[in-house]
Amino acid sequence: METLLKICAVCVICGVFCAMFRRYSPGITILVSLLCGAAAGAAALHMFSPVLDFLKRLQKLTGMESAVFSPLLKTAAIGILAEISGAFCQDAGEAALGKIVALCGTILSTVCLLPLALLVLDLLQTMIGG
Amino acid sequence: MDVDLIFKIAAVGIIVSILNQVLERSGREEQATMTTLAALVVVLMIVVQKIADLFDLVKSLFNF
Repeated sequence: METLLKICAVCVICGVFCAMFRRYSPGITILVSLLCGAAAGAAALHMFSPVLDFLKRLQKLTGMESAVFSPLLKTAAIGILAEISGAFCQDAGEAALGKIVALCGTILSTVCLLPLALLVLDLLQTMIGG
Repeated sequence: MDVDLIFKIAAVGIIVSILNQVLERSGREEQATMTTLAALVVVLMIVVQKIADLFDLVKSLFNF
């Protein structure tokens, strides 16, 4: 809870700073915003590690291969990074770049999920007997 | 959570914007632009390092 309060406080202060100084030095306000986002993101990801440990334990219990769980985690990471990077590009006034980053994230997520889709296809073929 | 760096860069931003205003009002617009550019490059070098650390953390957490 303390970490969340720190993240909220720092982000609000950074937002106010960026609103005040955007007119005078827009480049540095974007960089301050980026740094604040990176620090808050890193703090949030550290809080996420117990969830990942739980997923690893679940994987061991179910006995499923890492080829099933790994694409899910990678897709989640790609989605988070693409979304946040796209938002920062839009904040900098480059909406086209933001959309391209989002599109790249979608394409890479699809590529990451391809092994899972192939596994399902193999399973279906085995079941149908083809 | 390391917030000192954020406040340091915010302080650099405030100083740069003040210097920018002072130099522009003095008629030294080229120097104002150079000062802003230099500060931007320095801050960018610091931010890129921290972004790289964040990407390494994401890679290690999500098994890339």
